[in-house]
Amino acid sequence: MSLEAILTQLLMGLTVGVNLVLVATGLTLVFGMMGVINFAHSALFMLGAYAGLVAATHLGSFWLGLVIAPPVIGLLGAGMERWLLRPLRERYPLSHLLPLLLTFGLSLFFEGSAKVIWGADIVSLGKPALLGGAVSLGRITFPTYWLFALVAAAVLAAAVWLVVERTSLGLSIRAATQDPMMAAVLGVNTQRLNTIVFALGSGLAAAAGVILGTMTSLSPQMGAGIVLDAFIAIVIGGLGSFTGAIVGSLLLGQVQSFGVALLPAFHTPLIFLVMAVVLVLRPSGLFGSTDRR
Amino acid sequence: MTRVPAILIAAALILAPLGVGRFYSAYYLNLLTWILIFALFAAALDLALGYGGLVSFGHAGFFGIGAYGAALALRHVSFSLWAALAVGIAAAALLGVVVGYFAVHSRGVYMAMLTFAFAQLLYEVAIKWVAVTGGSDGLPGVGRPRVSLGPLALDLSDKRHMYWLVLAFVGLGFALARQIVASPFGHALIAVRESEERARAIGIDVTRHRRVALVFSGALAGLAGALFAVFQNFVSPELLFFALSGEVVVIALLGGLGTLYGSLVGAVIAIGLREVLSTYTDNWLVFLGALYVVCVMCFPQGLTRLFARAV
Repeated sequence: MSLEAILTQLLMGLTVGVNLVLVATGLTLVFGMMGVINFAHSALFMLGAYAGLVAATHLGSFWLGLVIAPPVIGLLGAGMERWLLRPLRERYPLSHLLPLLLTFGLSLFFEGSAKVIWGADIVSLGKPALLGGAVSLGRITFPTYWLFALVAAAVLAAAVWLVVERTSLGLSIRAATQDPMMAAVLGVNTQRLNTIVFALGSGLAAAAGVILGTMTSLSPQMGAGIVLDAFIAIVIGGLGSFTGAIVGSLLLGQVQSFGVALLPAFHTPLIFLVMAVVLVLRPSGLFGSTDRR
Repeated sequence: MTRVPAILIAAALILAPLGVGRFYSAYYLNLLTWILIFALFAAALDLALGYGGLVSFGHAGFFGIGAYGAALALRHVSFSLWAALAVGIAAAALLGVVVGYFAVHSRGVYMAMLTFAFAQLLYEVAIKWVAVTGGSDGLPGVGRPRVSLGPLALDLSDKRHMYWLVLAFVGLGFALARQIVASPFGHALIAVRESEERARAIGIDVTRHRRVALVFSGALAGLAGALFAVFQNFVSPELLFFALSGEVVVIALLGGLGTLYGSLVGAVIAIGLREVLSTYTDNWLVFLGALYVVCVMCFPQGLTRLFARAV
């Protein structure tokens, strides 16, 4: 590979990676705090993209779609947590499988609803003219929209990082992901925090849905692939770890990008291979605690 | 399960094909065949998940490799049902050995992800290795070999004969699973599930028990897959896809973990409802999803009695 080709693949991998961070954040924080693998996360990603599409078509602006979709889906996520997951957790605090079944059912419900409302066919969300074409960055040219996707997701991810690492809310979140019981004992309102984190994760997934949906296309099953990747990223990084989600996502973005370029036929098995190797060497992932949930 | 209802259910299952054409169409017999195969598949998962506490989210891997093994054996080895079943079971058991080697040291969600990764790898292989697996088109026309057992000859293109064959093997599978659970090995396995430390303290080899359980579970799931290949006369990568792994977990959970027979109940509910819904409405996914949610929220206890302890 030439230097230009390597740089291009690096940038593409980074674009995929930062968007994966947005999707993975919700998954990993929800798991850390509630011990729940949220199967409906892919549906929230998908609904985010469609919410963006609806807003953009009715209001005539891609940007409004991008701004409106995350809070709408965030509210939906908050509702899911408050009225479904919380009652379930209060009644069966020890079960990790009931929430799994619940979110599995919700994902089917949302996917089915999307098919009813918007049809099963692929649709596309038009990108603004400003973001068409390509830009040249020194020795390489890069699609403008990809650059936008990279920057927008990176800005959002950085904002989330600041919130999690530098605010008192973030301190509570980090405490609650490490040890929910101890955090509650120390006076953190973990119930409210669960709802906030669920809303935050859902909103971020929706933002990624609009950004990536515009890059490719929209369909009711569009979330499956990316959320699978996000899952693998957080497993590699260590479930429940925010840092792990970032590192895992960025790593996976590069594995994907170079995998597609160098081993086109085998890039998907390559991803699973990376995950299997990490898990065999470090059963709790790179940044996972040794606590076996 | 008490004895009398069990005998009644068994009798009803054996006699079910006689009602075709009189009380219901062959379509329902086909549906029942499908349900039986998935009940065996879910019971296989229950052996690992409900009894062994092994959280597998990759059981489609065992089912799919059993199906592909059977289909490829019919094509390339010998056009005989026995060869098909033997190869399917052996392939799945071998996968159980490999997965067990890597996965039994991890726990909970991590084990779920590792087993999931293996199944997904196989899915990719089935899609990419077109020369052998037919790629994403799968292998149509697997073929239905003639079966003769002494004076008894089965013509598997006859839906009733196919049903009886499947029923016989599913019954055999359930009996085997029950034997395993009731054996000293089964009791030790339950001890491992309940508390690894205590099991280890009384001299149980935890790792070996978990590995062997996964091989048994895999082999039974492989049998289900091999039966499915012959029944459908078709295999495709869908049989290895993670959605199927999720579906079988749902079936086992609905029926109740650690019961074996619960799998039959779970399969009737999950597959029966999906089938009924899909004939009445195109939007069945919405209803099925809503139904899962309602089941979990309103009567989880009735569906899954061993829950808090099992995982």
